[in-house]
Amino acid sequence: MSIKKLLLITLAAGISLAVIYGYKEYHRTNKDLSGAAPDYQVRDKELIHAFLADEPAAARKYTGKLVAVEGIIRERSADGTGHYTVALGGNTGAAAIRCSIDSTHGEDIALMDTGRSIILKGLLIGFSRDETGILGSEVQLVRCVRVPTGGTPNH
Amino acid sequence: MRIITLLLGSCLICLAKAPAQDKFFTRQGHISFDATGGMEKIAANNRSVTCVLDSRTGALQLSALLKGFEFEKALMQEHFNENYVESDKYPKADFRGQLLNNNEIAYTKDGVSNLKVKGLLSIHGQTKEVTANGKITVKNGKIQATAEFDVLLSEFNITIPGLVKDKVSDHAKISVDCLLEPLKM
Repeated sequence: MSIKKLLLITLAAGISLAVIYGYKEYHRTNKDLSGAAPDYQVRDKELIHAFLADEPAAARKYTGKLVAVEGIIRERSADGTGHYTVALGGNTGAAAIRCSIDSTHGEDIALMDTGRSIILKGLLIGFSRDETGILGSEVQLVRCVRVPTGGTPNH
Repeated sequence: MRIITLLLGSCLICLAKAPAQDKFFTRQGHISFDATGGMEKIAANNRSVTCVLDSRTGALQLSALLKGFEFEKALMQEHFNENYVESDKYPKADFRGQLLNNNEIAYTKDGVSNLKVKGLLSIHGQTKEVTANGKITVKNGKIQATAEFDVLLSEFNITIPGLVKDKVSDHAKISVDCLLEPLKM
């Protein structure tokens, strides 16, 4: 095989790989987080305290990270489209952690009662400090999934 | 700037001072935006929006973390956060306004009313006045507030790179849908 032919084949292979990579990257969707290892594992109270005590430092540490939070379900609700949200916070005053549940994992949450302990894992997107003085501040997580604990079925 | 600060301050004072039974809220409001400029859909949804309405004064406040907007494509979401709204630097979008026709809305009985709201929208470090029309639906003691309005992206210092100018519109259509419950204190 001539060098020219070898170069052409290498070039064609390189272009094909670049096109496939570009196509895959362009059409990439947000991945399901159930199989991903969390960057941090914390209790609800600990996470809320971190943001209330020093918001900039906590934001630098946690924002954009995958965080597993263990806490007490204060509120569980679904909107008209069946999208579930869980607020975690036992003994945390008005402040809470609001977890927007991944739409493909709603059934894992649907039967969970308030007052029960749970571990939810999700992407921490920030802190919403209560400026009205009536609602309470919240740490917000999105694309949350339930982390199965011993003896609890994993749906 | 002083006028804007005064207006924002007045909205907060109104919301904080009103009796609880006049206030309605949600932490799960829905905001969607659509900035489609070509064949491909450029749209996102945020379902963790905080909204507080004081039915006595008509003061309305909305806030959302920009990282809470979810796109169908991950790459679009990354570009939105990193290149367009710079959500690490400007994490929140805020709207603080006033229902202009608040005294025409019957909050105490089931029914549908038109709403007109005017206020200040803050995104990407810029604050602009916006006006929107929508509907208020009262049912079983809850209030569903919906509204739509357009924003010109350049007014919020959001620049569309030349390479994608034919795909991304220079304005975004924003839709708000919040089911508000009475605030119990």
